[in-house]
Amino acid sequence: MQDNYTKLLRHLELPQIDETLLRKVLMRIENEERSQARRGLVIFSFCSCFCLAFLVRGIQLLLGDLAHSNVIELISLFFTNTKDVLAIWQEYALSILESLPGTRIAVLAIIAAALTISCEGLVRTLSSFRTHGLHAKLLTH
Amino acid sequence: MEVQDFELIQRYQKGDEKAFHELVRRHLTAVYRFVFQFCGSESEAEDIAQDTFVKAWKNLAKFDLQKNFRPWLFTIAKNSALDALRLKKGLPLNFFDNEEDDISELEKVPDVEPLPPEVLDRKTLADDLKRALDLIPVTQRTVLVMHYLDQMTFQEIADVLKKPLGTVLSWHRRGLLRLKDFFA
Repeated sequence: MQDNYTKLLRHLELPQIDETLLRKVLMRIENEERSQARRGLVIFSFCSCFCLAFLVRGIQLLLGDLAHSNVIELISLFFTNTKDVLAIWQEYALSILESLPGTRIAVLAIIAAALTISCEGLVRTLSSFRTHGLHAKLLTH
Repeated sequence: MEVQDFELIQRYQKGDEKAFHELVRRHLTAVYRFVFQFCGSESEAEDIAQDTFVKAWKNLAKFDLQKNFRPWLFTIAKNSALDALRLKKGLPLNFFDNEEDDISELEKVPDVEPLPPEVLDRKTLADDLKRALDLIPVTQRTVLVMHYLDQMTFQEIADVLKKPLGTVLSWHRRGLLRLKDFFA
């Protein structure tokens, strides 16, 4: 019974697609890809600059903190009195840890991680620009 | 042998843009014809088909390969078509619920008898068929076209239209009855 209706519906004259439709679809995707890449470029560039500025300032502050703490003296003690330091190495290691500006180092590590992620995103976005025009190129082959 | 859709999607997910190109080429006509059933205008159908593939491209990277690609794509097409129609005509959100779609209705719909063979010999068959389909509600027409022309199973159609299988079967039978009445 259904064969009968299949035969009938095969006579339906559905509109034929415009030959340029495939190209139009791929061009739309191409444009979408471009605008996504542009957005990514702006966001990742801004984040990278922001993180870099914070990182530089953070390093300056960290160096200042280190200069005011006695870490440098403790480290130089290791080279001048290695034998004595090794005898009390546990206390020595604790002293060094206590004298380090821990919070600032942690914040700096987070900023460095954010900078790495932003740079990675930036490189990925820039490399995606190389593939632009691919859909259009594919059409010509 | 033709490469399966899921293989093309796998290749695309691994970075092969050509694979997506092939998917577009393969399904463009069917998607275009499908959305044409809703809007009835060639230029609108073109715009909606473009929207459909842009949306598919955006989501294909996270497509679940366990799923069937075609119903997934047609679902996007249906949603794009309804969104476009809503913007244009202020279509209600429950567009598909406006039709008689009670599952129990299927039992009330009588069985469809075959068409008389002479119907297929009519010279004006294509024109008559077009007129007949124009008189059928869009849901029933969509089911008929998807099943008989796009070769989709009723379950696939139910998945696309987000309707129970019984409802789709009911629409199908009602559609055939209307066709039969028209040609009788």
